[in-house]
Amino acid sequence: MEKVINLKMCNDQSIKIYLDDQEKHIIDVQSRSIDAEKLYNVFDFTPGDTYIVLSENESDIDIQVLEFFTELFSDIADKVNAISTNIVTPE
Amino acid sequence: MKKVLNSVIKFDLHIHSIASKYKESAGIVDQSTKENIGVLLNKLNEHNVALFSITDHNRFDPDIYIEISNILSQVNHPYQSVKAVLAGVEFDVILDEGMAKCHIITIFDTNNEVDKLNMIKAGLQTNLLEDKQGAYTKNDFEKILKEIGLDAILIASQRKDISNQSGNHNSLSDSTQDVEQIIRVGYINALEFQKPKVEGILLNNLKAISLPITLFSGSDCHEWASYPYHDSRNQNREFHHSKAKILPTFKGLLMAVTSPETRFNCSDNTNTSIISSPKIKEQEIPLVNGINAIIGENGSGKTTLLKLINGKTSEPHVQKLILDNMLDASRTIDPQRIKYIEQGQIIKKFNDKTLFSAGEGSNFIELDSTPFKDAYLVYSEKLRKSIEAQIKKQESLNSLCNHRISFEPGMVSKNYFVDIAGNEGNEGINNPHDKALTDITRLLNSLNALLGDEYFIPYKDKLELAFQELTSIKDEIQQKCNAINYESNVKNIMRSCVDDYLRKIKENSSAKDREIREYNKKKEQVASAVMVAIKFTLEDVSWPSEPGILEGVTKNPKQGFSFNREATYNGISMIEKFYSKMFNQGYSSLDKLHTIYTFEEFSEAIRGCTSKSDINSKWSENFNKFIADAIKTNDYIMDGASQQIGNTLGEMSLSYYKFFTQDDQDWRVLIVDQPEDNISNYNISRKLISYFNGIRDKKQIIFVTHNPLLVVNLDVDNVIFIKNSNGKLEVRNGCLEYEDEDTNILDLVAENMDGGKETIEKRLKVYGKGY
Repeated sequence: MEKVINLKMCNDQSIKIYLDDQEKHIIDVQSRSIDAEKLYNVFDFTPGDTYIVLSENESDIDIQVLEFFTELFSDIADKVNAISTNIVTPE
Repeated sequence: MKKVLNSVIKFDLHIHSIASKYKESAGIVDQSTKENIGVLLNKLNEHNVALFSITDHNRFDPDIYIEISNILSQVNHPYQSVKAVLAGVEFDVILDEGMAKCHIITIFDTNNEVDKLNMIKAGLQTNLLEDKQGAYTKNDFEKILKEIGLDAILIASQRKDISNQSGNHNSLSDSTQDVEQIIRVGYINALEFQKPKVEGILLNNLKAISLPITLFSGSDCHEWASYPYHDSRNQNREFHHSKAKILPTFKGLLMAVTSPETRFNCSDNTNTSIISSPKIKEQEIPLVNGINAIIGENGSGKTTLLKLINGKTSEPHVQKLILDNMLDASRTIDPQRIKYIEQGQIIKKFNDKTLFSAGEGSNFIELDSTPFKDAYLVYSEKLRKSIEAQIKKQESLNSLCNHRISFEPGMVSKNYFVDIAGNEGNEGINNPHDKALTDITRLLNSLNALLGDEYFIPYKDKLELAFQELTSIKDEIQQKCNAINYESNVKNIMRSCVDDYLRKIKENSSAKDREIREYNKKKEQVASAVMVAIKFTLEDVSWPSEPGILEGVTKNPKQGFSFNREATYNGISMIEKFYSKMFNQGYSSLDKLHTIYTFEEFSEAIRGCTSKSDINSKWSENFNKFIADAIKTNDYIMDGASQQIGNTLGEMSLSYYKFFTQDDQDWRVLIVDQPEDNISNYNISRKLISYFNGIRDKKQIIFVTHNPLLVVNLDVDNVIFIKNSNGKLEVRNGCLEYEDEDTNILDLVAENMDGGKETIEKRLKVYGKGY
C-alpha cells in the first residue's frame, strides 16, 4: 500500500509529521532531534508498503531543519521502497 | 534280548484261543489250540508282530503261554520276528450299575513265570463266569485283580465316539456314565479300537478334552488261520497293527502307556551319519540312533566319555582315563556334522552376547539410523535459527531507541569529497546453492555406485536415465552457485577499491570535514537501524514442524525366530525426549521457546548452559547426547510372531536349544554336556524335552545329565550308566524298561540321580510305587 509521510513546518517552528494525514510525531523547537524508534513508528511498516515523503513549509521557517529531517525520511523511504518492490505481497 | 530302543515293533494284544469257546459261536475257536500254536506264530511272524497276547473272554489258559514261552525261548525257532507273549485276559465288566458291559483287556506282569501264570487262572476261578452273556461288576472285577495280585495294564475296548452310550458295543462308554473321569483317574490305561476311522474319532474326542491316553488296535482274532482277521468270514480289511518303540516286555508296554507321545507314532530314525559305539576294553557301549543319556556320579567319567566320543581328548586327565580303561572310539563321521555343546559353553556365550551368533557374524542386522539423525539435525538447526531470528528481531526493535540524531546547523555543510556509505561490514556471502549442490552431488555419487553394482544390471537403462536427469539439475545448480560466487568476488574487489578511496579521503580531509563525516555516519546509522527493524518485520519467524515418527528396527526371521534390533526411537515420537535433553524445565516445549527474546534467556533455556558464549557448544553437546540415547539399540528375539524371549540366562539357554533344534543345517549328531544347566525343571518338562523329542527321529543325541526329567520324561532310548571305581570305569546300559539279572535301568536312575525315584514314580503312577 502506498503511504504518504508529510513533514509540516508549523508557525511555532515545530515540525509535525503525518502518515496518511494522521499525526504521528512532533519535532519541537527545543529539541531538533528524533530517535530511530520514533522513525520506525512513523513508518508503521507492514509488508508491501511503499512511501512518498513530502514536506510543507508555508512560512519558509527553518528551511535547513525541515530539509534535514525530510532528507532523513526520504532516505529511509527509498530503501523501504526498494525492498517492497522486491517482495510479493499476500493477496 | 535287545537292551536299547532303536526300532519300532508291531504288537497285538487281542487274540483269542479255544479258552474263549464258552462265549463264542460254534466252531470259531475250535482250531485255536495249544496244538495249533504254530499256526498263530507263523501268522504273527509273517506280519512281523513282535509282541502279542492271548486274551480270552474271562478265561486264562496257562498251558498255552507256557508252550509259547518254550518255543520263543529256543534260539533257532522259526518265528524270529515274534519276540514275546504277554499274559492277559479280556474281561466283561459293568463299571456303573445299570449300564451295559464293556470289554477290558488286562495284561499282567508275569514274565511268563509258571507260578504267576497260574495265579491268573486261580484268581479267575474264584468267580468264574459261566453265562456267556454274564459280566463282572466293577467290584467283582477288582476283587479278581486283587486276588491275582499282579501288576496289570487295563485296556478298555472303545468302538465308537466316547459320548455314545447306546449299549451293545462292549465299549467303555456303554459301561460308565463318565468316560473322561475313569480315564483321568488312571483306572483305564489305554483304549482299544479296531477300525481306523474309530481311531480318528477317538483322537478328536480325546483332543477336545485334553486327555492324553494311548490308543491300541487289536485284531480280536479268533480263528488263527485267518489272522489278522477275526475269522474266515469276518474280515476287517482295514485293520492295521499298533506300533511302538518299546522292548517287547510288560515293562515296555508300561512305558508305552505312560508316555504315548514318545513311544507311539514313531518312525525309524532317518539319520545315516551317527557316532558308532565306543568301547571300554573290549566291552562295547552301544549308542543308538536316537537319544542316549549318560548318567552317573560326579567324577565318574561321563564327560570323559563324551569328549572321547567327540574326539576332544587333549586334556591330560582325559588321556589318563582313556589309557587306564582302554577307551576307544573310532569315529568315521565328519566333525562338521557334530554339534557339540560343552559344559559352561552357553553361559560363556551368553556373557559374551554371542549365543545367537551365526559363525563370525550376528543374527542381528545392523540398523542404519541416518534418517532419524538427519531428521532431527534439520529440526534442531531450524529450531535454533528460529530462536536466534526471534531474538535478533527483538534486539533490533530494542536498539532503536539507542539511535538518535539531532539537527546541527554546522554539520549540514557540504564537503569536497564524494562520501561513500554502505561499505561497512565484511560479511561473506552465504551462497544459498551450496547445500543443494552438495546434496545432489552426493546423490549422483550414490547412483553411480549403483550403476557399478551387479544387482542393478537389470535396471541399468533406468538408472542411466535418472543419472542424466540429475546431472542436468546439478549443472543448473552449479551455474547458480558459480554466479553467486562470481558476484561475491566482484563485490569484494569493489569493496577493496572503496576502502582505498575512503582511506585517502580520511588522509586528505580537515578536522571539520571529518566531523561532518562522522555526523553523516551517525545519521546513516539511525536510518540503518530503522531499516534493520523493518527488514525483521518482513521476516516472520518460522518455527519448524516436529519430525515425524520414524521406524528404527531391523528384523531377521530365522527358523521360527525373529532376531530384532530396535532403536529407542522406533515407532514413537521422540520430541518430548528431544526437548528434555536440549532444554531446562520450563522451556521443554515449542510454546515456551516462543517466549525467548534475548540471548540471556536463550542461554538460561539450554540445559547445562551457563553463559551466552556456551550456547552453541552446549546446543551441540545436548543434541549429540539426545541422538546417542535415541539411537541406542536393544536386541531381542521373538519366538514366533508375538512371544518375546526373556533376557535371563535360563530363557536364553532354552531358546538356544529351540533355535538350533529347528535349524535346517546339515548336522547329524548333538553332543551336550548337561543340557539342563540354567534351565528350570518346569521349562525342562514343558519345553526342552519337546525340543529334543522334535529331533529324536532325525538326529543322534548324546548327552550327559544329572536331571532325571531328561532321562525318564524324555524317555531316552539308551541310558548309559558309568561308575568309576578307583579309576576303573564300569558301564551298564539299556533303555528305561531294560532289566536283566545284573541291570535294572529304572533302579539305576532311581538310585543314582537326585530326584530320580520321584520322577519315575510320577511317570509310572501306581506302577512306580515300588521305587
